[in-house]
Amino acid sequence: MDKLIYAILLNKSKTDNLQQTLSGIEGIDKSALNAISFGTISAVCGNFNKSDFAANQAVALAFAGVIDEVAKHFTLLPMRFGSFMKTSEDVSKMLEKNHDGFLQNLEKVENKFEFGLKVFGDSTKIQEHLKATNPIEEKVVDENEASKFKSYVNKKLRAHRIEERLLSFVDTIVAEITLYLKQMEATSRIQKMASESILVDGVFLIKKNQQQQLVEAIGDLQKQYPEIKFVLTGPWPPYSFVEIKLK
Amino acid sequence: MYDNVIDRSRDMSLLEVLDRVLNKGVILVGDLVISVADIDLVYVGVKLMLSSVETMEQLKDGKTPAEVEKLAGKTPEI
Repeated sequence: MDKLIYAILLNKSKTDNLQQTLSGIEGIDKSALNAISFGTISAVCGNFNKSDFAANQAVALAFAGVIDEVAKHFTLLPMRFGSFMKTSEDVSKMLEKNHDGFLQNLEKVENKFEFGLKVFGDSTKIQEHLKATNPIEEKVVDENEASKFKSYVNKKLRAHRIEERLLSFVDTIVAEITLYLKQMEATSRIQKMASESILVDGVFLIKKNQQQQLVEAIGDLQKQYPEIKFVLTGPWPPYSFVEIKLK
Repeated sequence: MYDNVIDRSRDMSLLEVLDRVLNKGVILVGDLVISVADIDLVYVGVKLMLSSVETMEQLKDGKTPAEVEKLAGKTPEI
């Protein structure tokens, strides 16, 4: 049987309880979970024939469900879906080789939750709104000197100014979000204009006791900007804050 | 008071879960068993899932996670 690895967890204060806790959680095929440990680091594994592994949506969701359940009891680093090793010895060696990296990552995410934030908006409508509320000055061109070239350049310049205003609007929102996050000493990654409709796509790592503070902060922003939609998801295990290159 | 801020819609939550479990977490390069042909992650018009499939394809092509992230244009931590 191969070893399907769900997560790497920190087990410094609950060594005796680990196997007992895992015995109350089922793997994706309802089979038992087991822990393979090295020092204070453990890999949560299930026995699974790699050739029988069905990589479909239901199994991916079940995999995430197992990680969620284990995360209720331990600080962990989620493994990406479909991570197999051949034997317990292989897992043990992998833990030994990467012990320091795992430990550093685990300490960074200890007692923290990940949240995701997407800010949706119709960029065309927002551009129109910005244009209407603060019109761009049209340069009065003497018809005699208005060549096709000048008309083309003016049109492009105008489009560029409208685009600049949208980006400036998004910058303002990101600055406000960042201000709240700094107050919470959160780690964050924010992408602006992830798509035409996703103006902001961010992930934050906050202390577990700051959840309500974050919800209220985003709620305040939603009130301030009713024309766009703030969608917060979480709490998640720290999927987006794993920074380790396995040896 | 701000209950509407946290998304509880099934589709959005599902997408967020799948995006994380397929695109993020610790990676054992070379041990991913996912084949794009076998996976039935069908979400019409949803870019997130497309990016997940692209990531898997790139990993299967032997690119390292760092190369895949560079190609995906990931933004630095702030």
